[in-house]
Parts: sequence; structure tokens; C-alpha cells
Amino acid sequence: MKKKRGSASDPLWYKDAVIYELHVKAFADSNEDGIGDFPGLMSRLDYLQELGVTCIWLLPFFPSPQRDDGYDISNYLDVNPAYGTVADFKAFLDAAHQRGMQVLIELVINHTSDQHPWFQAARNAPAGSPERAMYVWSDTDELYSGVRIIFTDTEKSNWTWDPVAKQYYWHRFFSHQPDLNFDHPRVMEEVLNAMRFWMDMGVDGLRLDAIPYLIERDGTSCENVPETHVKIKEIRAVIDAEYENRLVLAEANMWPEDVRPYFGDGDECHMAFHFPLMPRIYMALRQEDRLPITEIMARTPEIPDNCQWGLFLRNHDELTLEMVNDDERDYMYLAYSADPRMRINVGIRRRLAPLVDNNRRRIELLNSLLLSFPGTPILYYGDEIGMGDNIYLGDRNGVRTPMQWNSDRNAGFSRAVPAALYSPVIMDPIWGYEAINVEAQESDTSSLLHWTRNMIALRKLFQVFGRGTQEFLKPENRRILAYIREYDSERVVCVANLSRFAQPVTLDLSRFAGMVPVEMLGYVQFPKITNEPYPLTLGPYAFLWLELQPAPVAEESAALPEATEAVLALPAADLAGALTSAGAQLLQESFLPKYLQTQRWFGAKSRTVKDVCITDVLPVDGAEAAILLLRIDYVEGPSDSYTLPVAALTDGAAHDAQQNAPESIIAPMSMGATSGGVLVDALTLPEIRDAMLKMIGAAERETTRDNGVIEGKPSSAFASLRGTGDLPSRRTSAEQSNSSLLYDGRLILKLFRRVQPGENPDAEIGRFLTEVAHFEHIAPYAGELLYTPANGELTTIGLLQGLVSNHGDGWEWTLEQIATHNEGKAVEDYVAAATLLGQRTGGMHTALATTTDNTAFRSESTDAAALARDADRLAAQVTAALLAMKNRFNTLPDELLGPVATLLSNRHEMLAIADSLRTLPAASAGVRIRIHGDYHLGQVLRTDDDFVLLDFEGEPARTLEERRQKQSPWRDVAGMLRSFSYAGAAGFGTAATPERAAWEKAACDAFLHGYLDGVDDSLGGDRAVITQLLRAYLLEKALYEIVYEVNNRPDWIAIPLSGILGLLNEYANATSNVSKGGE
Amino acid sequence: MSATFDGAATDIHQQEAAAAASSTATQIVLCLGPWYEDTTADHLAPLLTMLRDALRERTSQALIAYPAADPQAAAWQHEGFVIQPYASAAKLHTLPVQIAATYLSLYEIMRAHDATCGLLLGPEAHTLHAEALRALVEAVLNGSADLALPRYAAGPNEGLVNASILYPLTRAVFGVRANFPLALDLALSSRMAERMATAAQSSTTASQPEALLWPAAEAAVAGYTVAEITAGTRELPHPTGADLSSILNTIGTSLFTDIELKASFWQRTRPAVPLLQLDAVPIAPLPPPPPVSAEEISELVESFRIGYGNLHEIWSLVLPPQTLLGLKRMSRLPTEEFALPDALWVRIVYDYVLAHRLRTINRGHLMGSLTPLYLAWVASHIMANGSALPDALPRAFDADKPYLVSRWRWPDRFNP
Repeated sequence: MKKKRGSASDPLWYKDAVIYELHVKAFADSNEDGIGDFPGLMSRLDYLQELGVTCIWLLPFFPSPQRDDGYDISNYLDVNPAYGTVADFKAFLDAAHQRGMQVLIELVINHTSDQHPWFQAARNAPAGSPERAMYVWSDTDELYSGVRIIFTDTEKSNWTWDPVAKQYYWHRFFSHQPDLNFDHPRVMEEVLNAMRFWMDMGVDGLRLDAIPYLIERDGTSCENVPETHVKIKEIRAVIDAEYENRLVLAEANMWPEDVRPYFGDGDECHMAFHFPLMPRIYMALRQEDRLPITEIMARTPEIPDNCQWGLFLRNHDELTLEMVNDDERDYMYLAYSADPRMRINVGIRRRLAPLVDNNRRRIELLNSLLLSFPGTPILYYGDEIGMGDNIYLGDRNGVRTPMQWNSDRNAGFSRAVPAALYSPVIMDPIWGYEAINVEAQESDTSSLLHWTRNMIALRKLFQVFGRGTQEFLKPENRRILAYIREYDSERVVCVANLSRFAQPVTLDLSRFAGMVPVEMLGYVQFPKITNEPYPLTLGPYAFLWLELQPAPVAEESAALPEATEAVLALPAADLAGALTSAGAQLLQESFLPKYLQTQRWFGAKSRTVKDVCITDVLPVDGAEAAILLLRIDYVEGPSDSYTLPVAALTDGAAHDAQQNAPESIIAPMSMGATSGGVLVDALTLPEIRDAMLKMIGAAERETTRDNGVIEGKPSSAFASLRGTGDLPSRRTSAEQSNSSLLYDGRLILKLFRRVQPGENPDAEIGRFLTEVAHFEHIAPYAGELLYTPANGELTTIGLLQGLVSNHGDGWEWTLEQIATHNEGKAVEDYVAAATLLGQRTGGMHTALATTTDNTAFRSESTDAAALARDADRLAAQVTAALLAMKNRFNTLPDELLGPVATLLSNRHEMLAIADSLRTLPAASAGVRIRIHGDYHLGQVLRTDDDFVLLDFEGEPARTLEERRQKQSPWRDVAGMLRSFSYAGAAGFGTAATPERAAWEKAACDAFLHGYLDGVDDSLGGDRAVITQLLRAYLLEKALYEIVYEVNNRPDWIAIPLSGILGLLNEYANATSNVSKGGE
Repeated sequence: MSATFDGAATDIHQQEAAAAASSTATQIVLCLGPWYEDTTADHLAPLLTMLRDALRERTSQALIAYPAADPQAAAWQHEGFVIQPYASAAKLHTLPVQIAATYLSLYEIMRAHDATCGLLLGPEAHTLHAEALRALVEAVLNGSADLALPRYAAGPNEGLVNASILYPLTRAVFGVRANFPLALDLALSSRMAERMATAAQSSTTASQPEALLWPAAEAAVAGYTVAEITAGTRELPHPTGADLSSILNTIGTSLFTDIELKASFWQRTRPAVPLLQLDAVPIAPLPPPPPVSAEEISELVESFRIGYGNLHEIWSLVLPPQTLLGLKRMSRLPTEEFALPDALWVRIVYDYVLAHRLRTINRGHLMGSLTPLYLAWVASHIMANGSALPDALPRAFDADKPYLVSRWRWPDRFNP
């Protein structure tokens, strides 16, 4: 038998459909009798087509006594005369098909009207006759006892006595709706007859009403019994055998796992409503919490590939609360039905817009979920314009009022006298047809109708919404519902803010790193996804649909210098050309901003660069190279200066760079018809590295582009440190904020990247310690590269030092020692080393206090102003640290909340420590000298049996002026003591253990002991004063660490935290002792 | 002859040799359109001569079909070709374009003979270079492409509707870079012919057998490969009885409708459709176009100015304020400084596509109001006298495609 074709060409058409549910009687009246009809509906098909509807679901339109709005059918093979004729229906069906719309009708097969001839025949037929057997009869109303009653407001039993049949008949719904007996073969025959009648006409789908109740079995709930599925499979088999591309939609108001069997193995219903999702969407909205939604979706099982969920926000029935628990039901009643008249049966009889208090943003949000969740969206007529309801009408008629077409009489629904309407139109000032109607919203491009149209059109462009998978993201902020839909190559991230306030969220999109989210409504590109959390901010009830697209090719190629060659290149043949006129302009505007962002030494990646300007060009003698002085202006905050050595390469050298060191290329150069060249970071070139060393060694002096001077300055030790012969050079791999060049294990040249006017402390102190104080335990100063602008201050560009053979820095070495200690080796070795380190530190301070005429190094006695500065600095650090902790308090690990709270409550105590500095006797506080300024274990090198102290640059984040100030040497001591605390935590674990405490104490005591041994007595002050001073410096350093850890490594906060609490404890004991002593 | 495809060279000569060895069953069906209705041997003679030169050893594999009032008339042979009539209810289109009914006929004849290559040729087809025709056929027969389109050599002032709208719009929207997306002559594989027949079927079902179809767009949607063959010059017949407005209306409406129908395809980000470029007829410099007099330019500009005065209200419904401001400035320019920037023209075309989709105004009126704007573009184009960079306009269309996508998705009139 040849199958009858459906109007749809795709067998899975229902997966991409947008279904619109309507009642013929409520939509449009053509014959002015006050009741909608098929000709009226036909006249409105263009409206539905414009809306984007692809399938119309008609509520029952069959002859009926209309005691349950048509669900009480008295003839399956005809059209209710009030709505028209079968011919009218056929004309409507054809017109819908011509517009590309499918039609879904009801097949109410669980029950009929008690006026149906089958029932009338049954009640009059003798018991046991085939006619009687069409329905379910019993001599007692005790059969199937315990089966729940669905319409609790109206029905007391599922059985009703029929005085004619003298038996009870079974009905799961109203008593005038007797249930058909599917155990009787004729029932199925009649059902199939009815189905064929409409499907032969071309109907595309059937909604099987109330199917869980088809079969009754004693001892069960009479719901979902296995025989029901046999019947559904029978119906489906007939459809598949005789028809193409048709749909069966199950109405089973059950939990998802109970609905799942109605899909069978793809051989029962094509679709089923997802009833429990709907109330949970409203619950999530009201509670501003995604949990109700994600929980029910987690309970939703997989369904066969050819099956689909039907999703809806509202329909012709009440907002059913059968599929929620008691608490949830109570909550929903309280949240959405303040007036008891809004409640019916187990649900709430209200439309979408009134449920959300007519808030447009809430309506849009809910629709965005409806249209983007996995399933086929079903819109209820009138909700697209935000129609209201009438809770004063009986049953569920309040949500079944006439469609509001315009502001004419009867809302344009009918030209009958108002009293003749099947239902009054809504007329109040807010919801009335004069305020809310299609015509008005058609002419208002900002209306909900236009919005809905646009959203439907957008959804229809992407099959992912109807067919894709759904994966929920789990951002910390539960007010945000975020999920990923994927289908073939389509990927969409949906983010919804369930809150009435703006909400921040970060999403883990790392598996899409490299892709670009494009906001789908406005086709707006968002920043590229990286491996980092993806931050978004959503306004109240806002939602985003982000289509993930591959990054634009142009952007990708921009990252590859050779790929940009064809597009953009410096119009230059050599270095001079690249650094002048158009070349310089292109370099500054295009290439340098991008290049800087890729360099590890560029410390302002988080700031937005506004301008890059080449402020001077410093020639490197004898090479096609120069050091560029760059001024970086940011959108906010002060500018920076950076150095950038560049060289121009052509021909083979350019090719080599492209092949072997593409990362060094700053910009391609276009050289007309000849082969191209490149501008590179000059430090990659050995000849440039040699030229820089030569400049220092030979004390060369060159005039810069802007009449400044660049000069090399060797130390007296340069010749011996350099030795003779060639020195092969290389660039160190461990590049951080500066770049370092190694010369054959003898010399190291540190090129400062971020430079500030004035001599760099590293060079200044290194030179002083080597040349003046003759302190041996540092890397020997060998020279420097200096730049003096035409009208500016001398600036250190590079520092040359002798290279010291070592076993790693103090931090690494200490951790190795702890590991050894853990293996059982005695701590004495480390104590000896810590003592030695203390001695070297003391020696360094003594050396820095060497008597000199150089005012930069002349030691000064401590005065009250200096102590006040210390106090101010500490107080500011207290404020900063406490603020940082308060801001992050909610995100801290639970075990830290107690200690952090303790610390927050000790603000006054910490400020008291700061204030105590102001009252110290300044004369007893020792001298102020130049200090290391950023002293910790990472700043010393372990040699065979000693330590070498390094890097006198100070904290790079501070200004040069601050770094060059004279300070108490005890600040360095405090820095190293804190470093021991960190080393203990890194070596033994962050948990406070006696072993770790013992090690730290031993190391600190040894260091202090050594320090006091190594430092000249003249530096020290009164022991008691120094103790207070050291406590304050330790506190300051630990607070600084708190700020750093809160922002970068919350797991490490415990280290400075325990240090601070220990100090406060010690301080409390000290002050207590003082007071006791006072007593 | 050389071919390039993704940078790799292919030698067409090798393929020709292979083709010569294939069977003599009907492989090629040439379906002549309504221009050749009830044609005669004398009438066809020049075309057959060119075809013989083009197809050479494949002559015996080709079947030529022509529309006839009496489709039962006997087939006949001439110059080695089998020539047979077919029934067609299609009328002669006012424009020299291939129409839905011809695509349908082609497919039916191809299917009847199990042919692998279909060929549609426009009027004056005998003026095509034989090498170009051969390359069109070979591109399909050797399996390189499902659709082979010619790239005619056109002077700077020729084919301006194509240059200003059809080519750049098809390229930007569908990613097909063929220069003549509505080419008069084309070759199709059997599956491409089937696809076109399906599209034609819906047109003929809707009683529009003369509807235009867009093979390049269809190929793009189907993911088929398109070949473009340099075809040199060809006599291109002029429209019969159609003024510029009706030409724009017919072609524009058809293309805009096709864009609407295929929205779910082109709204997605996709790589450009692969284009196999074949050099059949060497590209030779064309003689300089005849100079356009100042009076003619002045007339074009004046048409725009009149349009600006009369159609401003319609344009206000279609175009956003920034575009209207641009037009206002143009209307005040002296003729010798008159210029319509590419970016502005792109926006105009895109906004017309959108207005067509949204039915902002009656579609006939809408397309009618495009004429003065098009004339402004023509005036500007002629006055630029070839100074614009090649492909500048198509690139501008490409670059501004996000505007079309964003407004398509969210057609709010409150835009800049």
C-alpha cells in the first residue's frame, strides 16, 4: 500500500517546529454568531505565518455538549457546527499547508461525552453485550479503589452510578466523560477509524489526550499500565504503515521518567509534553535560583533520536502543580496566586503575562528559555501579545477568552452583539483589548508581538535549538542559568539572569578556547574565549544567546607575523626607514601595541594601551640595530617607559628569522619589488649582543636620534671579569620583567625593560658595594649602559655583572634542604647556612653603611619623621589587607573563615602596632641606610659554601624615588624572616605542624643570630626598640603578602595569616606584660 | 589551458583525452530555451558549427533539445548531432535569462537519457568561444564541478546590474565568488540539474514557469563545487521590451526572495564555497569603452536628484537615517563631484534586501524606488572611470555582511 504523504517533507519536521495552540472558538468569528469558526481562523492564517508559527494545534473542534470545552466529544467524525463544516476544516487545512504550516488536532481517546451514541447505546444495552463493553462498568464503586481523582474540585469518585444501566461507569475526569474500554477490540477499531478519517484528509499530527489512563487494572494506580503501551504501539504502527511524516504527541502529565516509556523505542509517540519543567521555570524565576530547573532537567532521561519533548509556558489548562512536591506547591500558590480565585484543581488558572505581573523583561526571559531549551516550543494563543485572563469566569475559561485583534468592538474577534459572545472579552484598563491587541502591537515595532516574531525567526535559523544536546554550566552564581546547546557544527551558549538585579558570572568555556562568541540577536562579536573563566554581566532578567564561531581568519593571521606580511608591512627597506615617517607611524599604531602584549616582560597586559610612542632611538654601534625608548600611554593611569632593542634583517637573515625565530619578529617590512625584510627584537642576534657588550667595555658614547646620549660605562673590574678572547653569548630562557644576556659563563647583562628616569638601584648599589665598599658577597659589578636624554635625567638601561657559579637560588636550595630534612637528616646543616646567610646580610648592611661622600649612600640617623612614615605605611597596609579580605570573604575556603574573621576583628590592634612606632625613641631606632628593598630567599644564590646576594632593584612596582630612600635595615631582615615562613609552608605543607614550626623557628633564630653577628654594632639601636620595629616590619610584610595571596593564591593565605595572628598574639602578650609590670 | 583549485594546478588536456575514450551514449544534453522555439536547421547552423568545434569527439554523445509547439515531431540529425523537440509551456522572458521551466525540461531530458552533463545556452549562443563551451562541459563531465559558469569578458561599463548587485550580493551572502551568478550559459551535473529541477518545480507549481533561478546559490546550499571558466566575449542580447525599472524589479525581487528562502543557510558562518577557476579563453585587454558624454552622466545624476525629490518618503521607510543623510549630501553635490561611496551603496542594497523581506512597503513599489539609486551608482561608477580598486565593491559587500545579518535577525527600525 502506498503511504499517504504529509504536508511536511522532513520526517523529523516536528523537531524544528514552532507550535501555536489555539481554540477555534476563541480565535476569529466569521459569521457573527459570537463563536470563532474555521473561516475566521483561515482569515488569520497570514498573521500566524508572519508570527513564524510552523504548526497549529487545534483544541477539540468536534461535536460536543461543551461541558469540558470540547474534550467531551459526541462525534469523532464531524466538526462542531458552531465552528463550521468538514469542508470548512478541509479548506483551512489546505490553506495552512499552502503557507507551510502543519496542523495538529486532538484525538481524545480516553473518554467520550456521555452524549456520544456509543455511550447511550452502552447504557441501554444489556450488561455483557458488545455495546455495553465499549465503556468500563462495575457493579460496585469499590473496584480500582485508591486510584486518585484528578478533578478534585468537582469529582468525589472515579465511579458514577448510571440509573439506566444500573451499573457504575468509570471516568477519570468529569462524570459526564465516561472512559472508553480499550480491552474491547471495537474501541481500537473506532479510534483507528477516527484517526484515518482526519489523516486521510491531510492532518499532520494527533495529540493523544490523557493517554496514561487508557487501561485500568485492579491493584494499580490505573495509570501507565503496561497494556497502555501495547495500544499506543498499535496506533503508531498503523500511522507508520499508512502515512508519511505524521506526528503523535502524548499528553501524559507525569514525571519525566514516567513519560519516557511513551516514546517506546521510537515506536510509540514522537513527542510528549514535559509537564514538570513548566512550574519549575516559574519557581526558578520567583526564587531567582536556577536549581528547580537544573534539578528537573537532571531527572529528565534521554529519549530516542526520533523523539522530542514538547515545551510550553502556558496552555489552555491550569498551570498544573501535580508534578511538584507539597512544599513546592505551597510556594507556587503563594507566589503566583494571591487570590484564591486564581486556583483550580491542583494548579493556577492564569496566563503568562499576569503570572509575571505583566513585566516585559520577565516575559521575554521565560520565552527565551522556552525557545532555547531542548524541545519544541508551544505557544498559547494570545501570549505573544501578553494577553491577560479573567479569573471571575468559571473552570479554566478565564484563559480561554477571545483573541484580542484590535480595539474595535469585541476586540475585533466578532461583530456579534457582545452578549452573544461565547465568552466576554477582557476589558479592564490593564489587560483589556483596548490596551493589548494585535493591531496596536503590529504598528509598534517595540511591542511584545514584534519581539516574539523576531525571536521565533531567529530560533528557526538554527536547528541546534530543536535538535541539539544541552549541557548545563555550573557558575557559582545560582541566579544565572547557563547551558550549551550543540548540534553538528552549531554551538550556542545560552545565559539567563533569573534575578531582578544585574548579575555577574564567569563561565567555564575553556573547552571552546579560541572560539569567538557572537551574540545572536544583534550579531555582535564578544571577546575570544580563552582557558580562563569567561566573565559576563547580565542586566535584570537579561539573557544572551551566544553562537560560538571559529575566530575570524584575519584575527588568527594577525598573530602570525609572516601571515600579516601580505596585508600590512612597514614601508621600509632598512632600519632607518622603519623608524621614520610612515614606517614609524605604522609601527607605533599597529605593530608595537600587538607585539608588546605578547612579551612576558611587558608588565601592563591588563591595562588598555592607548598609544605607543617612540620617544628616542638609541643607536647600537656598528650594527643595523637600535634600542627604542617607548612611552606607553594607557587609557587610565600613568604612562610607562620601556626599552626595545630592534634590528632590521633582510634577505637570508630575514628568512632565517621567519623560519627559526618567528616569535622575535615585530613587523614585516615591504621593500618594493625585492624580497621582504623583518624588524626583529635585536637581543636574538649574537652580533647585537656583542655590540652591546662592546659599548660597555669600550665606554662608547653615541648621540641618540633626539640628541640624547647613550654610553657604556665599565667598572674597574670589567677587564678581569671579561677576560680575553671571544665570549659566545646567548639570551637566558628564564626571562621575567627584564631580559638577560649571558656571555660564556663570565658575564651577565641585564637589560632593564621598564625604565624610570634616574639611576637604577640595582646598578647603583652594585657599583657602590663593588667599587666603594668592596663587599664580596654579591655578583660583581662590571659596568652599565646609560642613557641621558637631551633635557632629562640619566637612566640605567643595562647592568653588567660577573656571573657567579652557584647551586641555585636560596629558595630552591632551602626547599631541597627541607626535603632532605624530611628524610631524617638533621636540621643543623640548614641552621648553619641560615646563620651564614644572616652574617652575609649583616655584612651587606654594614657595607651599605660605609662612610662616603656620596649622599645617595650616606647613612642617616632615624628621626621622628622617619618613624611616622613607617607608621603611615603600615597603617595603609592594614587598611588595604583588611579591605582585600573583606571583599573576598565569601569566596575563601571554609577553614580560613575563622582565622580571617579573627584578623578582621583585630584591626585596632594592628593599627595600635603602627601607632606605637610614632612614640618610639627615634635615637634608639638605629640608622637608616640604603637597603636591598626586596629581600627574600629568591634573591640570594647558594654557592658551594656561601651565599651571594643579588638584585638590588627593590620592588619594581614602587617608584625609583621610593626605592632609593634610606630605610631601616631591619626591613630586609623582616623580609627574609617572612621568606623562611613561606619556605616552611612550601616544604612541609601549609598545615601548621609542630615540625614546620620548629624548622621555621630554628631558621629564623639562626638567621637573626648570624645577622647580629655580621652587622656592625653602629647600625643597631636599642634592643627593645628594634624588637618593636621588627615586629612592625614583619606585620607590614605579612599584610602585603595577604593582599597578594587574596588576589592570586587564596590557598596560600594561611601562611601570612598565621604569621600575623602569631605576631598579634606576641604583641598582646608583650603589652600585657608591660601593663602587669606597670601594676 | 590551465586550471587552479586551491592552488593546485590541473591539466585539462589529460582529462580531455580520458573523456574521448568514454562511450558514445548520450552524456550531454543541451536544452535550448524559448529563444529557439520551433527552430530550424538553418537557424541552428551557426550554433551547431560552434558546438561541433567545442565538443569535437563528444559530438556523438550530445543530444540537443529545443522547445516545439509539436513535441511529437520527429527528431532529426544535423552535423552529427541528434536534435529533438520537447514540450514547453514557457513563454519568452523579457530578459535574456534561463527560467525555471527550462531547468525542469533539462532535468527531465537528462533523466530520460541518463545523461551526466546538462547544458543550457542562451540566445546568440553561437557567439560563445568554442573553447569556453568545451571547458564548461569538461568541468562537469570530468567530475571537477557540479556547476560550471562562464566568466564573460565585460568592459567596465557593461553588465552593471550584475557588477553592482548580483555578483557582490551573491558573493557576500552565499560565499560564491563566480562573477556571473546568473550566467546565460551554464553546465550542470545530473545532481545539480536535479536540484535545480526541484527548485523549478516549486516555481512552476506556483504557476511561475518563467521564474528566475539562482544556480550559484543552489550549489552553495547543496555544498556542490562551482567552476568558473574564462569565456572571453560573447554577444549578449539586450532585454526585449523591458525598461530598467522592470529589469531591476524582476531580477532584484528574484534574488532577494532567494536570499530570504535560504536564510538559514547563509546566516551561519561558513567558509567560502570552493571555486574552481579555469582559463579557457585567455583574458585579453578589451578595447576601451566608448566615452560617456557629460550629458549622459548629467542625465543619470538628474534622475537620482528627481528620485530624491519624489521618492524621499519611500526611502525614509527603507533606509536608516545615516544612509538618508548620505543621499542628501549626494543630492547637493555638483555633477562633476558626484560620487556614491561603495559603503553607502552596500548599505542601500542590504537595506533593500531587508525591506523586501519585511514587506516594509509593497514589493513592487520598493523595487521601483531602487532605480534612481542604482542610476546614481552607475553615474558614480562611470565617473570613477576605473580608478577604483578591482573587487573593491565586492569586498565592501563582504565586509558589511554582519550588518545584513544583524538587521535580518533583529529588524528594529531604530538603527543608525
